[in-house]
Amino acid sequence: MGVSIDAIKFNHDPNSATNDALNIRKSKSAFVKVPEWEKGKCTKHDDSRAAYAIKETAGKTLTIQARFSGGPAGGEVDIRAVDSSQSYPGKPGCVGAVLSIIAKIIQAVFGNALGEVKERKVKFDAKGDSGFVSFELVKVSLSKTPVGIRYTEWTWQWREGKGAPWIDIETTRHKIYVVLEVPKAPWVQQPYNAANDQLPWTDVMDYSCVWAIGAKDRDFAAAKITECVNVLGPARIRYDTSVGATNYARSGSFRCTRFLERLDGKFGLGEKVNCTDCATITSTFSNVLGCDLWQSRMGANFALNEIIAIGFAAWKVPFFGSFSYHEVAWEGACGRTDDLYDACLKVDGGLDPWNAPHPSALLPVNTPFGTCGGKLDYVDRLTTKAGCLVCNPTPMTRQRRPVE
Amino acid sequence: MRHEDDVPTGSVGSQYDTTAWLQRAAVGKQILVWKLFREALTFESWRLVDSEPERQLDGCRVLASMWTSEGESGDVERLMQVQIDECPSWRGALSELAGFLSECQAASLPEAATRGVEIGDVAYTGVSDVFDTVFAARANVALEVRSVGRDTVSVEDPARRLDGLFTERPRPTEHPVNPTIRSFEVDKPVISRGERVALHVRASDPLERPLWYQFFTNLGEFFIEDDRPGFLSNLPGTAEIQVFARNENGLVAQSSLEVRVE
Repeated sequence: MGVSIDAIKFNHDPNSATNDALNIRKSKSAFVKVPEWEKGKCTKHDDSRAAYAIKETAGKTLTIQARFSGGPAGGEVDIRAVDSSQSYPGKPGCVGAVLSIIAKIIQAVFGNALGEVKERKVKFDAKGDSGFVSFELVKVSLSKTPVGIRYTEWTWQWREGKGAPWIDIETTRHKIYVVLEVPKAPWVQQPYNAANDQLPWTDVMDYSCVWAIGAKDRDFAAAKITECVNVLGPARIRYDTSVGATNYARSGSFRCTRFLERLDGKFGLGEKVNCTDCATITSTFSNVLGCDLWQSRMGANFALNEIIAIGFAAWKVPFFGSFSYHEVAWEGACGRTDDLYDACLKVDGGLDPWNAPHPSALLPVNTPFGTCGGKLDYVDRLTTKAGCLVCNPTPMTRQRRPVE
Repeated sequence: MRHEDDVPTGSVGSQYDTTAWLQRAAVGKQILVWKLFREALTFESWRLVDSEPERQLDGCRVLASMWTSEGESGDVERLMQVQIDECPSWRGALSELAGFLSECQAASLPEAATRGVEIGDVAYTGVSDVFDTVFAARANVALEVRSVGRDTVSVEDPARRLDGLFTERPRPTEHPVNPTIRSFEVDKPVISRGERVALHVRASDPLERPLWYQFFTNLGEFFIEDDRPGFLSNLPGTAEIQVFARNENGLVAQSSLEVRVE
């Protein structure tokens, strides 16, 4: 008898994200099929992807489902999976101690957060097939885990009964995305089918979970995403200083696939971006982690202080001194008291943002729009004193552009 | 209250003199571009790197493509984005142009003519020293040509090439595999002022290559309705309407008819 593991389902209940994984896809064109792991098809971590929401799974017992073959016809065996990534053998001496510390750091940042698969008895039919069997996960550390990408390696084992030795079946490898909450719009969880290209994309999570690694709350995650989008300039993107045209977020949708191409070093739609692009990228990449940001505008035709546009290093007033509109990633009702995130530009963070020299460049994150002549909030730093009077939030413009 | 001659220009109406756009479309309204396809486009020294599937937006057919060229420095990215929106009418093209401009943060862009570039019925460019952007409306086509790579390059020549493609009457060709216009008819040869009438053109290519069409008239204007070209005139007279059917290899067939407007 040789028990074999055939498949593993992480997202076995598409109607819930409390006890199992989220509904996801890889990209616009590629769906993540369930079971996420299949024997013979999955060898690397990347071949088996799942995502979990910290908030929704907190205090819940996580379960997976697995299917086995080669078991005793009509009989049963014990099956479990142990965390094989924890088995760092260690070496003596100083080098061994250093390696051990490094291994622990790597484990803390990237290591398994799903714990182990609790032992249970598995029955087999006359053909030695178990069908899908539900397993509880134990030693799960998701609730203590911040945003990130975790790598799980489980060594599956079976034994004939209590007291019998455990026999290894196979080690399975999984890439686990840990997000704060169920992703927010434009990302959706339903309907769950291969045609729904607004299910959260792991191609986006591959960036978001790294950019916001370590984040434990939405504000911090959105701030990290904003910073990382801003520093994409000048290597990947730069502000369109000629016309300030929208490039990736035109005509009501976000050309996310093309933007991902750009991030991967391909042409995409080119390097030019404007505020609408930055607001859309920031909110979309934040919301896949469970943040709740809008793309919303302020307007109109207001005079600007000197700023540093994304991808540039110098303080300048773009165009002829004013913006026809500006767009940011914005919380709540997108009004004066709501916090916003602006990856498109840096403002003067000092006491006199209206006049040079500008001693400190400030990337606006988690800051309220504010009022003119108030507490030196965002609007005071962005606009001239005259411009401030005509720069108002326009929350009726708020939207979350669908991804394509 | 919206006047029937207005063009829906949305928020840019306060930034640009959109009323003047209507007068400037005098040339373009007597031209119609129909069923254009990406393969009809070529630009000297530019190589196609990507062509997006055709899509519909605001009633217009959108053809978007990305082009690259080798610069002197070789390894510096040179990219040109070309978007052509084939709209149901010249008004639709102006409306699309307004849409382009409304997605720009620059509060007001200079007209291309102020930089010495005479293209389009209405055209705007950027504030960059290099002529790196043009948004234009010509006939029923709104076009956008932008340098979007690391190396900012002039798009003047490709923009002129596009504009010429729409406005110049091609010379009919004679070739063993020339397109053929089998018939070109109008529903009614005599119409009243303001009456809309459908044009019917049947053309084929011996190798079954796709064809695109240009229509020209000396009177009135064109529109596309129910995926079919049409004609109307608010002035009396005789309209001489020419149609050119063109394939991707530049081979051209031509036909014409007359419509009397009473």
